[in-house]
Amino acid sequence: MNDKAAHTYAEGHAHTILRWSDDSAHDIEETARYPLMTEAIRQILVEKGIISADAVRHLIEQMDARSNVTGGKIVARAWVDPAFKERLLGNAKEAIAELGIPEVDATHLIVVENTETVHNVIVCTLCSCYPRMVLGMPPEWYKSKAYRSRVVREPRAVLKAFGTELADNVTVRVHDSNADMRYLVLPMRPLGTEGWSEDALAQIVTRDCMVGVTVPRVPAKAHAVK
Amino acid sequence: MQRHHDMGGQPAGPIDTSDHAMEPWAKTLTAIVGALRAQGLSRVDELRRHIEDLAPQVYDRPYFERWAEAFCDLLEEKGFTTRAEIEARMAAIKAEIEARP
Amino acid sequence: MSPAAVSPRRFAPGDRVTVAYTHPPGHRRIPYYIRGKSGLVERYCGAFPNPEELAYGFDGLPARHLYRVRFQQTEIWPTYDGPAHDTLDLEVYEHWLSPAEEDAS
Repeated sequence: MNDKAAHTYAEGHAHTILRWSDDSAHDIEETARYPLMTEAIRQILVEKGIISADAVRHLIEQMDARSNVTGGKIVARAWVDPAFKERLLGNAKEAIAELGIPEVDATHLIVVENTETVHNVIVCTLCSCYPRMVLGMPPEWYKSKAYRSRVVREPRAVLKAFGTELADNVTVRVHDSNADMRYLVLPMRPLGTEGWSEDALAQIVTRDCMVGVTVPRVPAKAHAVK
Repeated sequence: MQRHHDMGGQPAGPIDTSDHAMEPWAKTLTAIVGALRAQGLSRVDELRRHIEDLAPQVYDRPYFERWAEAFCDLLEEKGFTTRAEIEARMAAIKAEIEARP
Repeated sequence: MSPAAVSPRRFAPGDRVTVAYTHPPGHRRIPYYIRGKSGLVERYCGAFPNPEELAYGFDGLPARHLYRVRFQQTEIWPTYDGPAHDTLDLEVYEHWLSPAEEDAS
Protein backbone atom coordinates (compact mmCIF):
# COMPACT_ATOMS: atom_id res chain seq x y z
CA MET A 1 0.00 0.00 0.00
CA ASN A 2 2.71 2.48 0.91
CA ASP A 3 5.42 2.15 -1.64
CA LYS A 4 6.53 5.75 -1.89
CA ALA A 5 10.24 5.37 -2.12
CA ALA A 6 12.25 8.55 -1.76
CA HIS A 7 13.22 9.82 -5.17
CA THR A 8 16.43 11.67 -5.58
CA TYR A 9 16.87 14.32 -8.20
CA ALA A 10 18.84 11.96 -10.38
CA GLU A 11 15.98 9.51 -10.50
CA GLY A 12 13.53 12.22 -11.13
CA HIS A 13 10.12 11.18 -12.12
CA ALA A 14 7.83 11.05 -9.15
CA HIS A 15 4.34 11.46 -10.46
CA THR A 16 2.09 10.91 -7.49
CA ILE A 17 0.51 14.25 -6.74
CA LEU A 18 -0.03 14.62 -3.01
CA ARG A 19 -2.26 17.06 -1.32
CA TRP A 20 -0.20 19.05 1.16
CA SER A 21 -2.41 19.98 4.04
CA ASP A 22 -1.91 23.65 4.68
CA ASP A 23 -4.18 26.60 4.10
CA SER A 24 -3.62 26.51 0.37
CA ALA A 25 -4.10 22.76 -0.08
CA HIS A 26 -1.01 22.89 -2.14
CA ASP A 27 -0.32 20.01 -4.48
CA ILE A 28 3.26 18.91 -4.62
CA GLU A 29 4.94 15.97 -6.19
CA GLU A 30 6.78 13.44 -4.13
CA THR A 31 10.14 13.83 -2.61
CA ALA A 32 12.22 15.08 -5.52
CA ARG A 33 14.62 17.81 -4.51
CA TYR A 34 13.23 20.80 -6.32
CA PRO A 35 9.54 20.33 -5.54
CA LEU A 36 10.60 19.94 -1.91
CA MET A 37 12.78 23.03 -2.08
CA THR A 38 10.01 25.09 -3.60
CA GLU A 39 7.52 24.04 -0.96
CA ALA A 40 10.06 24.63 1.82
CA ILE A 41 10.74 28.14 0.56
CA ARG A 42 7.04 28.83 0.16
CA GLN A 43 6.27 27.73 3.69
CA ILE A 44 9.16 29.64 5.24
CA LEU A 45 8.42 32.90 3.44
CA VAL A 46 4.68 32.72 4.15
CA GLU A 47 5.23 31.83 7.81
CA LYS A 48 7.57 34.76 8.23
CA GLY A 49 5.04 37.09 6.66
CA ILE A 50 7.43 37.99 3.84
CA ILE A 51 4.96 36.98 1.16
CA SER A 52 1.37 35.81 1.36
CA ALA A 53 -0.04 32.51 0.17
CA ASP A 54 -2.70 34.53 -1.64
CA ALA A 55 -0.10 36.47 -3.60
CA VAL A 56 1.49 33.23 -4.74
CA ARG A 57 -1.88 31.81 -5.72
CA HIS A 58 -2.79 34.97 -7.59
CA LEU A 59 0.43 34.92 -9.60
CA ILE A 60 -0.13 31.28 -10.53
CA GLU A 61 -3.58 32.22 -11.79
CA GLN A 62 -2.10 35.10 -13.74
CA MET A 63 0.43 32.77 -15.35
CA ASP A 64 -2.33 30.35 -16.23
CA ALA A 65 -4.34 33.15 -17.80
CA ARG A 66 -1.54 34.34 -20.01
CA SER A 67 -0.81 32.60 -23.25
CA ASN A 68 0.13 33.20 -26.83
CA VAL A 69 -3.59 33.59 -27.61
CA THR A 70 -3.10 37.23 -26.66
CA GLY A 71 -0.28 37.61 -29.15
CA GLY A 72 -2.36 35.91 -31.81
CA LYS A 73 -5.17 38.41 -31.31
CA ILE A 74 -2.75 41.32 -31.68
CA VAL A 75 -1.35 39.90 -34.91
CA ALA A 76 -4.78 39.13 -36.35
CA ARG A 77 -5.95 42.70 -35.64
CA ALA A 78 -2.82 44.08 -37.29
CA TRP A 79 -3.48 41.93 -40.34
CA VAL A 80 -7.02 43.21 -40.84
CA ASP A 81 -6.51 46.83 -39.77
CA PRO A 82 -3.55 48.62 -41.41
CA ALA A 83 -3.97 51.73 -39.26
CA PHE A 84 -3.82 49.61 -36.10
CA LYS A 85 -0.72 47.92 -37.46
CA GLU A 86 1.02 51.27 -37.90
CA ARG A 87 0.11 52.28 -34.35
CA LEU A 88 1.36 48.89 -33.13
CA LEU A 89 4.71 49.31 -34.84
CA GLY A 90 5.01 52.88 -33.56
CA ASN A 91 4.01 52.34 -29.92
CA ALA A 92 3.08 48.79 -29.02
CA LYS A 93 2.09 49.57 -25.43
CA GLU A 94 -0.57 52.07 -26.46
CA ALA A 95 -1.83 49.95 -29.34
CA ILE A 96 -2.30 46.79 -27.30
CA ALA A 97 -4.10 48.81 -24.64
CA GLU A 98 -6.71 49.52 -27.34
CA LEU A 99 -7.45 45.77 -27.31
CA GLY A 100 -7.89 45.82 -23.55
CA ILE A 101 -4.60 44.03 -22.95
CA PRO A 102 -2.90 45.38 -19.82
CA GLU A 103 0.83 45.86 -19.87
CA VAL A 104 1.37 44.32 -16.48
CA ASP A 105 5.13 44.19 -16.66
CA ALA A 106 7.46 47.12 -16.32
CA THR A 107 9.20 46.07 -19.49
CA HIS A 108 8.42 47.60 -22.83
CA LEU A 109 7.13 45.84 -25.89
CA ILE A 110 8.41 46.45 -29.40
CA VAL A 111 6.64 44.75 -32.30
CA VAL A 112 8.86 44.00 -35.27
CA GLU A 113 7.37 43.29 -38.66
CA ASN A 114 8.30 40.54 -41.07
CA THR A 115 8.20 41.64 -44.70
CA GLU A 116 9.13 40.23 -48.08
CA THR A 117 12.70 41.30 -47.41
CA VAL A 118 13.11 41.09 -43.61
CA HIS A 119 12.60 38.18 -41.24
CA ASN A 120 12.90 38.75 -37.49
CA VAL A 121 13.81 36.25 -34.80
CA ILE A 122 14.01 36.84 -31.04
CA VAL A 123 16.36 35.52 -28.36
CA CYS A 124 17.77 36.47 -24.98
CA THR A 125 21.32 35.17 -24.94
CA LEU A 126 22.04 36.29 -21.37
CA CYS A 127 19.06 34.64 -19.69
CA SER A 128 15.60 34.04 -21.21
CA CYS A 129 13.76 37.34 -21.35
CA TYR A 130 10.53 36.82 -23.25
CA PRO A 131 7.37 38.88 -23.89
CA ARG A 132 5.32 37.00 -21.32
CA MET A 133 2.54 39.53 -21.22
CA VAL A 134 1.55 38.60 -24.75
CA LEU A 135 2.96 35.09 -25.21
CA GLY A 136 2.74 33.46 -21.78
CA MET A 137 5.63 31.35 -20.55
CA PRO A 138 8.55 30.63 -22.88
CA PRO A 139 9.11 27.14 -24.28
CA GLU A 140 12.05 25.04 -23.11
CA TRP A 141 13.93 25.43 -26.37
CA TYR A 142 13.91 29.22 -26.09
CA LYS A 143 15.65 28.94 -22.71
CA SER A 144 18.09 26.27 -23.87
CA LYS A 145 21.83 26.66 -24.15
CA ALA A 146 21.72 25.52 -27.76
CA TYR A 147 19.22 28.17 -28.88
CA ARG A 148 20.72 31.00 -26.89
CA SER A 149 24.21 30.22 -28.15
CA ARG A 150 23.47 29.47 -31.76
CA VAL A 151 20.68 31.72 -33.00
CA VAL A 152 22.82 34.88 -32.86
CA ARG A 153 25.71 33.14 -34.59
CA GLU A 154 23.94 31.02 -37.21
CA PRO A 155 20.29 32.09 -37.32
CA ARG A 156 19.56 30.51 -40.69
CA ALA A 157 20.73 27.10 -39.52
CA VAL A 158 18.61 27.44 -36.39
CA LEU A 159 15.57 28.48 -38.40
CA LYS A 160 16.12 25.48 -40.63
CA ALA A 161 15.97 23.24 -37.56
CA PHE A 162 12.46 24.60 -37.04
CA GLY A 163 11.59 23.96 -40.67
CA THR A 164 11.98 27.56 -41.83
CA GLU A 165 14.14 28.39 -44.82
CA LEU A 166 14.57 31.88 -46.12
CA ALA A 167 15.87 33.04 -49.47
CA ASP A 168 19.20 34.82 -49.58
CA ASN A 169 17.54 38.07 -50.56
CA VAL A 170 15.64 38.12 -47.22
CA THR A 171 17.52 39.82 -44.40
CA VAL A 172 17.47 37.76 -41.22
CA ARG A 173 17.42 40.10 -38.26
CA VAL A 174 18.12 38.67 -34.82
CA HIS A 175 16.97 40.60 -31.76
CA ASP A 176 18.85 39.84 -28.57
CA SER A 177 16.53 41.19 -25.87
CA ASN A 178 19.34 41.92 -23.45
CA ALA A 179 17.83 44.94 -21.69
CA ASP A 180 14.41 46.41 -20.96
CA MET A 181 12.69 45.87 -24.30
CA ARG A 182 10.73 42.76 -25.18
CA TYR A 183 10.01 41.77 -28.74
CA LEU A 184 7.05 40.28 -30.59
CA VAL A 185 7.35 39.32 -34.23
CA LEU A 186 4.48 40.37 -36.48
CA PRO A 187 4.57 37.67 -39.15
CA MET A 188 3.46 38.24 -42.72
CA ARG A 189 -0.12 37.33 -43.39
CA PRO A 190 -0.03 34.19 -45.54
CA LEU A 191 -1.67 33.92 -48.92
CA GLY A 192 -4.94 32.01 -48.96
CA THR A 193 -6.41 33.88 -45.98
CA GLU A 194 -8.24 36.55 -47.93
CA GLY A 195 -11.61 37.33 -46.36
CA TRP A 196 -10.93 35.39 -43.17
CA SER A 197 -12.37 36.64 -39.90
CA GLU A 198 -10.06 37.94 -37.20
CA ASP A 199 -10.78 34.87 -35.07
CA ALA A 200 -9.85 32.51 -37.90
CA LEU A 201 -6.67 34.45 -38.55
CA ALA A 202 -5.70 34.40 -34.87
CA GLN A 203 -5.87 30.62 -34.90
CA ILE A 204 -3.04 30.25 -37.39
CA VAL A 205 -0.77 32.61 -35.48
CA THR A 206 1.34 30.21 -33.45
CA ARG A 207 3.69 31.10 -30.62
CA ASP A 208 6.66 29.97 -32.69
CA CYS A 209 5.91 32.43 -35.49
CA MET A 210 5.68 35.30 -32.99
CA VAL A 211 9.15 34.38 -31.72
CA GLY A 212 10.21 34.21 -35.34
CA VAL A 213 11.39 30.61 -35.73
CA THR A 214 8.50 29.72 -38.02
CA VAL A 215 5.95 31.45 -40.25
CA PRO A 216 2.16 31.04 -40.16
CA ARG A 217 0.80 28.28 -42.33
CA VAL A 218 -2.63 27.85 -43.83
CA PRO A 219 -3.84 24.34 -42.98
CA ALA A 220 -4.30 22.19 -46.07
CA LYS A 221 -8.03 21.77 -45.63
CA ALA A 222 -8.71 25.33 -44.55
CA HIS A 223 -11.55 27.23 -46.07
CA ALA A 224 -12.83 30.74 -45.53
CA VAL A 225 -14.50 31.09 -42.15
CA LYS A 226 -17.48 33.38 -41.74
CA MET B 1 36.84 36.50 -20.34
CA GLN B 2 33.49 35.19 -21.50
CA ARG B 3 31.42 34.21 -18.49
CA HIS B 4 29.55 30.95 -18.43
CA HIS B 5 26.06 32.42 -18.74
CA ASP B 6 27.10 34.83 -21.51
CA MET B 7 26.80 32.23 -24.19
CA GLY B 8 25.86 34.02 -27.40
CA GLY B 9 28.03 32.68 -30.19
CA GLN B 10 29.39 29.69 -28.31
CA PRO B 11 29.30 26.35 -30.13
CA ALA B 12 26.38 24.16 -29.14
CA GLY B 13 24.59 21.06 -30.27
CA PRO B 14 21.15 20.48 -31.76
CA ILE B 15 18.10 22.26 -30.41
CA ASP B 16 15.34 20.12 -28.95
CA THR B 17 12.34 21.87 -30.43
CA SER B 18 9.71 19.86 -28.56
CA ASP B 19 7.33 21.41 -26.08
CA HIS B 20 7.27 20.45 -22.40
CA ALA B 21 4.51 21.33 -19.98
CA MET B 22 5.64 23.45 -17.07
CA GLU B 23 5.92 21.38 -13.90
CA PRO B 24 3.73 22.53 -11.02
CA TRP B 25 6.67 23.21 -8.73
CA ALA B 26 8.28 25.40 -11.39
CA LYS B 27 5.12 27.43 -11.71
CA THR B 28 4.93 27.80 -7.93
CA LEU B 29 8.58 28.84 -7.77
CA THR B 30 7.98 31.48 -10.42
CA ALA B 31 5.03 32.78 -8.43
CA ILE B 32 7.05 32.90 -5.20
CA VAL B 33 9.80 34.87 -6.94
CA GLY B 34 7.16 37.17 -8.40
CA ALA B 35 5.48 37.65 -5.03
CA LEU B 36 8.77 38.71 -3.44
CA ARG B 37 9.29 41.11 -6.30
CA ALA B 38 5.76 42.47 -6.00
CA GLN B 39 6.50 43.26 -2.35
CA GLY B 40 9.45 45.36 -3.50
CA LEU B 41 11.78 42.99 -1.67
CA SER B 42 13.81 41.89 -4.68
CA ARG B 43 14.53 42.97 -8.23
CA VAL B 44 14.72 40.79 -11.30
CA ASP B 45 18.26 42.07 -11.76
CA GLU B 46 19.28 40.62 -8.39
CA LEU B 47 18.02 37.15 -9.31
CA ARG B 48 19.77 37.38 -12.67
CA ARG B 49 23.02 38.27 -10.91
CA HIS B 50 22.68 35.28 -8.56
CA ILE B 51 21.98 32.98 -11.50
CA GLU B 52 25.05 34.29 -13.32
CA ASP B 53 27.17 33.75 -10.22
CA LEU B 54 26.26 30.06 -9.88
CA ALA B 55 29.05 27.54 -10.35
CA PRO B 56 28.99 26.32 -13.96
CA GLN B 57 27.85 22.83 -13.06
CA VAL B 58 24.90 24.28 -11.15
CA TYR B 59 24.14 26.77 -13.91
CA ASP B 60 23.97 23.89 -16.38
CA ARG B 61 21.05 22.29 -14.55
CA PRO B 62 17.59 22.60 -16.07
CA TYR B 63 16.21 26.13 -16.15
CA PHE B 64 14.00 26.15 -13.06
CA GLU B 65 16.46 24.16 -10.99
CA ARG B 66 19.05 26.84 -11.52
CA TRP B 67 16.43 29.44 -10.65
CA ALA B 68 15.73 27.58 -7.41
CA GLU B 69 19.40 27.41 -6.47
CA ALA B 70 19.93 31.09 -7.29
CA PHE B 71 16.81 32.04 -5.39
CA CYS B 72 18.12 30.25 -2.29
CA ASP B 73 21.29 32.34 -2.59
CA LEU B 74 19.24 35.51 -3.00
CA LEU B 75 17.06 34.74 0.03
CA GLU B 76 20.13 34.05 2.15
CA GLU B 77 21.88 37.22 0.99
CA LYS B 78 18.83 39.24 1.96
CA GLY B 79 18.63 37.57 5.35
CA PHE B 80 15.14 36.13 4.80
CA THR B 81 16.28 32.57 5.45
CA THR B 82 19.32 30.34 5.17
CA ARG B 83 20.22 27.30 3.14
CA ALA B 84 20.31 25.36 6.38
CA GLU B 85 16.77 26.41 7.25
CA ILE B 86 15.55 25.51 3.79
CA GLU B 87 17.25 22.12 3.82
CA ALA B 88 15.84 21.38 7.28
CA ARG B 89 12.34 22.22 6.11
CA MET B 90 12.80 20.07 3.02
CA ALA B 91 13.71 17.13 5.26
CA ALA B 92 10.67 17.76 7.44
CA ILE B 93 8.33 17.91 4.47
CA LYS B 94 9.84 14.77 3.03
CA ALA B 95 9.44 12.96 6.33
CA GLU B 96 5.80 13.96 6.59
CA ILE B 97 5.10 12.79 3.04
CA GLU B 98 6.77 9.47 3.69
CA ALA B 99 4.84 9.03 6.92
CA ARG B 100 1.53 9.23 5.15
CA PRO B 101 -0.36 6.00 4.68
CA MET C 1 8.24 54.94 -14.16
CA SER C 2 9.74 58.38 -13.71
CA PRO C 3 13.49 58.10 -13.42
CA ALA C 4 15.48 60.89 -11.90
CA ALA C 5 16.68 63.67 -14.19
CA VAL C 6 18.98 62.34 -16.86
CA SER C 7 21.74 63.87 -18.87
CA PRO C 8 21.11 64.89 -22.49
CA ARG C 9 21.30 62.07 -25.00
CA ARG C 10 24.63 61.65 -26.69
CA PHE C 11 23.42 59.68 -29.70
CA ALA C 12 20.69 59.77 -32.32
CA PRO C 13 19.28 57.24 -34.79
CA GLY C 14 21.71 56.80 -37.65
CA ASP C 15 24.82 57.49 -35.58
CA ARG C 16 27.60 54.96 -35.96
CA VAL C 17 28.72 53.79 -32.52
CA THR C 18 31.21 51.36 -31.04
CA VAL C 19 30.56 49.16 -28.01
CA ALA C 20 33.32 49.33 -25.41
CA TYR C 21 35.74 46.44 -25.45
CA THR C 22 36.00 45.84 -21.72
CA HIS C 23 35.11 42.92 -19.47
CA PRO C 24 34.27 44.29 -16.05
CA PRO C 25 33.26 41.82 -13.34
CA GLY C 26 29.71 41.58 -12.12
CA HIS C 27 26.31 41.87 -13.69
CA ARG C 28 26.45 43.40 -17.15
CA ARG C 29 23.80 43.29 -19.85
CA ILE C 30 26.19 43.69 -22.77
CA PRO C 31 26.97 40.25 -24.21
CA TYR C 32 30.61 39.37 -24.72
CA TYR C 33 30.14 38.79 -28.45
CA ILE C 34 29.18 42.41 -29.14
CA ARG C 35 31.91 44.16 -27.16
CA GLY C 36 34.23 46.15 -29.37
CA LYS C 37 31.84 45.94 -32.32
CA SER C 38 30.41 48.89 -34.24
CA GLY C 39 26.91 49.43 -35.52
CA LEU C 40 24.25 52.01 -36.21
CA VAL C 41 21.80 53.44 -33.68
CA GLU C 42 18.41 52.17 -34.84
CA ARG C 43 16.29 53.96 -32.22
CA TYR C 44 16.31 55.51 -28.81
CA CYS C 45 14.57 53.23 -26.28
CA GLY C 46 14.25 55.48 -23.26
CA ALA C 47 16.01 56.03 -19.96
CA PHE C 48 16.13 53.25 -17.39
CA PRO C 49 17.73 52.64 -14.01
CA ASN C 50 21.07 50.95 -14.55
CA PRO C 51 20.68 47.16 -14.21
CA GLU C 52 24.38 46.84 -13.37
CA GLU C 53 23.59 48.59 -10.10
CA LEU C 54 20.06 47.29 -9.54
CA ALA C 55 21.57 43.81 -9.42
CA TYR C 56 23.37 44.73 -6.20
CA GLY C 57 20.51 46.52 -4.45
CA PHE C 58 21.31 50.06 -5.54
CA ASP C 59 18.59 52.18 -7.09
CA GLY C 60 20.38 52.44 -10.43
CA LEU C 61 19.75 56.16 -10.65
CA PRO C 62 20.22 58.48 -12.40
CA ALA C 63 18.62 56.57 -15.26
CA ARG C 64 20.82 55.76 -18.24
CA HIS C 65 19.91 56.26 -21.86
CA LEU C 66 19.30 53.01 -23.75
CA TYR C 67 19.69 52.67 -27.52
CA ARG C 68 18.85 49.89 -29.91
CA VAL C 69 21.91 49.36 -32.11
CA ARG C 70 21.95 47.39 -35.35
CA PHE C 71 25.02 45.42 -36.34
CA GLN C 72 25.93 43.62 -39.56
CA GLN C 73 26.40 39.93 -38.76
CA THR C 74 29.48 39.81 -40.98
CA GLU C 75 31.06 42.48 -38.77
CA ILE C 76 30.36 40.50 -35.59
CA TRP C 77 31.43 37.03 -36.74
CA PRO C 78 34.44 36.75 -39.06
CA THR C 79 33.15 33.48 -40.50
CA TYR C 80 29.44 34.33 -40.65
CA ASP C 81 27.88 31.95 -43.13
CA GLY C 82 25.00 33.98 -44.47
CA PRO C 83 24.25 37.01 -46.63
CA ALA C 84 26.13 40.20 -45.83
CA HIS C 85 22.84 42.03 -45.26
CA ASP C 86 21.83 39.89 -42.23
CA THR C 87 21.75 41.95 -39.04
CA LEU C 88 21.62 41.65 -35.28
CA ASP C 89 19.95 44.23 -33.03
CA LEU C 90 20.45 44.63 -29.34
CA GLU C 91 20.13 47.31 -26.72
CA VAL C 92 23.16 49.11 -25.39
CA TYR C 93 23.36 51.55 -22.52
CA GLU C 94 24.93 54.87 -23.35
CA HIS C 95 27.89 54.40 -21.01
CA TRP C 96 29.00 51.42 -23.10
CA LEU C 97 28.96 53.43 -26.34
CA SER C 98 31.32 55.84 -27.99
CA PRO C 99 31.20 57.43 -31.44
CA ALA C 100 32.72 55.04 -33.96
CA GLU C 101 36.12 56.04 -35.30
CA GLU C 102 35.91 57.14 -38.91
CA ASP C 103 37.63 54.61 -41.15
CA ALA C 104 40.89 56.01 -42.45
CA SER C 105 40.65 54.28 -45.82
